[in-house]
Amino acid sequence: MEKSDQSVCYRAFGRDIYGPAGLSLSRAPAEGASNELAALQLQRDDSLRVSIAQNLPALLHDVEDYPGGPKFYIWKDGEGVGVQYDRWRARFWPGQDRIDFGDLRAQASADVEQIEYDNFRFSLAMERVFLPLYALFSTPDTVALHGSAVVLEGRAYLFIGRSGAGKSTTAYEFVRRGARLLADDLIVADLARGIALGGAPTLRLWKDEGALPEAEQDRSLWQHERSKRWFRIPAEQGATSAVPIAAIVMLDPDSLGDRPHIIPALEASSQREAMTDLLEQTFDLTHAPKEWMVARFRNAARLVREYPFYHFRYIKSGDGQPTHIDALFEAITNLNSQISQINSAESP
Amino acid sequence: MAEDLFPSDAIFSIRDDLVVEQVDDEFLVLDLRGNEYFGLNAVARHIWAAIDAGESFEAIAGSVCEHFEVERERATSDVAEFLTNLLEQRLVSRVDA
Repeated sequence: MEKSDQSVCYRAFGRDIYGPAGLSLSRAPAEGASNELAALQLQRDDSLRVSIAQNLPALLHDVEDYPGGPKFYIWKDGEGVGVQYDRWRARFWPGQDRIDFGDLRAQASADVEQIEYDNFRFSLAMERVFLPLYALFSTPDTVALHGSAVVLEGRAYLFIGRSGAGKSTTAYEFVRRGARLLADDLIVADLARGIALGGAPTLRLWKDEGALPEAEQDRSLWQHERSKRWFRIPAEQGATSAVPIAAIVMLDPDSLGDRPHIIPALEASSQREAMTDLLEQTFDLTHAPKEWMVARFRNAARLVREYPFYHFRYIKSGDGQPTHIDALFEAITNLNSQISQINSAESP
Repeated sequence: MAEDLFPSDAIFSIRDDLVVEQVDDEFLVLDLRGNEYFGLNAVARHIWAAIDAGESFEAIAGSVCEHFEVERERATSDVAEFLTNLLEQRLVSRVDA
């Protein structure tokens, strides 16, 4: 392995990550190592440059990441876990603080622009798939939610919702109003420590090129989804650490029924309602082993018992503009001040 | 009539691979075979616990009648209906038959 492969220290999902130079992951801040979790090594392994697509093992997971998106496979690889996503294959052994990876293309490009594009795409696979899965498989009391998470005054607010509910848009609009982005797509909640893990300052949005002037990178990756672009927001607007969970919010557009005049607001959900919403939005393996199904169910129940859960119903505007944001932002900032007051009253 | 379905000494057994979690005052039961879950309200939970304790059909109906202050006939028919449902879903089985 080239020495340069291991020369850069990034930070995501609450840990330092040593990997090849040129990735679009957040760089670890200069003030020393993260003391949250052991550092993780990303290591190139040429034996992983072969796709399993022609010779599929017994799979734990077999999906398109989203309709028309890249293929996403997970399988047991001896004592470890094998993952193939987009153009990369990875393997890790839970708890071993290392992810091995291989590029499925026969030959790497020498073209600088192409290398930058490949690095960006690989970074997305890392932060959206390989790192969350490593966390999920390595830590017993974790559950991964489909959604986006933002941080306000050191507390994580988790937005979940069905496809098209506006999770990424909501996260972005919160970042514009001063919050930090913790996660987009998959949020890993570690229940034993009461935290949400993140480090994914890349958002996938239905926006045009240049729509986020502050974005460090702005790319359209796949032919079939030209209308969605990937925007990498500046590192200072992202949170790469583990952040205490404050609340979970189910975004639910168009469900006001015959009450469209009602001003959208946070409604506290019963634990049963929360469980129904949460299980729908919890990452699941398509061919899950029994112990996985039990853990997912138990962890989801624990999440609804231990954290406040709200439903936010709103009417989507006809032109797709995020008209619900002001009401939601106000409601979340009010909730956040209430939590601050409770915390300061409780502390001596 | 549902209550005719079971003899008074019928005994049932809950499948041992079901996973139960409490949220609020409800029990949620995960059925791994179908990866489905369902909720048990207070009465259902009471019957569930009685089945689990190995009580007979008659004893379960008697205990529901006493606990929830409903008429015996109503309790018997409700318990029979619930048990029929559980048997159809293959969540419990008859062990005396």
